[in-house]
Amino acid sequence: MTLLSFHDVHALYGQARILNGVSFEIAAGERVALVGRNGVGKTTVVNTLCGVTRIERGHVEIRGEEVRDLRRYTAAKNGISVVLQGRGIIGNLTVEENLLLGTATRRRGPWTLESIKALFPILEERKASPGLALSGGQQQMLAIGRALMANPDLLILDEPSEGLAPVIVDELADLLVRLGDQGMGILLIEQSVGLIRRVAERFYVLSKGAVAASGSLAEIQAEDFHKHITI
Amino acid sequence: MTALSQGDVPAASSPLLKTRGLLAMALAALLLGVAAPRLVSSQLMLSLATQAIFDALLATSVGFLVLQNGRVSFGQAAFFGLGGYAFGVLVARGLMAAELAVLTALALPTLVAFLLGLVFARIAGVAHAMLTLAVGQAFYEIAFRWRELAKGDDGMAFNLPPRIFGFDSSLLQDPSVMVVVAWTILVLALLGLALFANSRMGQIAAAVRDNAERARFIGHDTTIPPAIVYAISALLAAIAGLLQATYNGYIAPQMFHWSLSGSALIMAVVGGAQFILGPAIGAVCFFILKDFAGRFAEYWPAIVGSVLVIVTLVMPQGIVGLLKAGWFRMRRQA
Repeated sequence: MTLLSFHDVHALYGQARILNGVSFEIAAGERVALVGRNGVGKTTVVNTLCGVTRIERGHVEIRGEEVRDLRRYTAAKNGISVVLQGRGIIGNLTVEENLLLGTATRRRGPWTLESIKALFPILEERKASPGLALSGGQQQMLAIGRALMANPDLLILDEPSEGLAPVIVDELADLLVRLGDQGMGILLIEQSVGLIRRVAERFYVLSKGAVAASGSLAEIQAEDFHKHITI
Repeated sequence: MTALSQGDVPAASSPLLKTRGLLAMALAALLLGVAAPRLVSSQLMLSLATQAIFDALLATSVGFLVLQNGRVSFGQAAFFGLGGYAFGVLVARGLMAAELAVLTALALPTLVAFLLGLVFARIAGVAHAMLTLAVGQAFYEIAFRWRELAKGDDGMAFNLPPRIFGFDSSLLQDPSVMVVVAWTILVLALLGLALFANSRMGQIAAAVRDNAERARFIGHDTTIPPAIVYAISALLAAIAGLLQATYNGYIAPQMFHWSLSGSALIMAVVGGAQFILGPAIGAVCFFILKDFAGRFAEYWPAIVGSVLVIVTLVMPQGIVGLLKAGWFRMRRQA
């Protein structure tokens, strides 16, 4: 089943058009990457889904149904968790309190406080620490843990490798593959070649606010691929 | 996730232990309050202590807004005055039983604050401060100009009915009784606020304060939790106003004035608005300082102001912040 699809979406920041007809789709259990250079509109895709940017033309479907009134909470209420760039940890709340915030939608599923702590033991050890007292990698785990607490069908991660040590990026890749294998859709918005190669099964290459190429790694011309993701 | 397991790990305290600790401290404080009239024989001292506790309640209500919502209010006196006026006017006119008047005096400001909070929660910074100031002063102007309500700027004295909730009401105007009542309410209020701050609703409000956009993305409502904080904060202010009106048997427009809100804010900042206990401690210190300076100088506000400037510069996190930092330093050295 298709969880999320964009159909010829044109989106604006104020008067500036950032997306010029983006179309893509992701189904349950798929691991898909949106790749592209800085400024091509990758984050705008997330912002459009969350109602931050205004759709001028085209539409978004969640589970095959068009959603007209996209709001900040639309994704969360529809079983889509978003790990934004910068992680959005609430610094004054403890690790455990940050995790519990993720249960806003009260969706039931395999992910609970206990299972998240089993997945990331460091979060159990540091459960009483303020969120901002964690290292970058630990904060990323906390952000992912909080997103999983919502028991989503689709997990969207915007530049999750940003600021992380290579060893942590490797561990993150393993985790995302495992989540995908368990049936969760993964939409990875990323520039790190290492991470997207290890995680994604399909790619959408964005350029100038539109999809320039798509398909599996074998289907996309290597030249195209590297041209569009070189920073 | 081995690489993620590095780093210093502080000792974790369980929520149950935390709650037990709070309850134990509250119990000790309540016992201290009950013993106070036996330890202090001076009626003047008890009366001053009673007034300081009223101030502490108001300062706590202002500090709670800063702590939970990250908002500075210059209009908290509106709810203080509303609590006092609702009770005073209803009792003086015999419109309802005193018990019902008490409930009305607490419910009305709470409801008004909740409704205003739905709007205030969307506004931040200077605009929020100015809006609260304007709303507070609007209440002041109504009380000041509407003579038929409670004799306008003259204020209005009123008599309590002989019994309230089955108790002799004259006891509520006896400092040795009121100090215990007010202290008990303050301790229970502080305990309630601490429990709220640790509750799910309190954590959501804190998340909205720190990053409302992020909280919305996660799927939380970002209006209701802050509005509930406004309501709780107003309830505290209303309790203070109700107690003061009952104790003095008198209400006046000054109960609504912005300068009262300003004083409460100063108390909160001096004590440490980032801590639940801070504003109450700030209020007591402010009260003592004001009383001390008033004995020696005609222009005592200048002395109080100078001390406040120094305190704010030296202790940006207030008295409680300084004590906490000192405590951690001692523990590290030990």
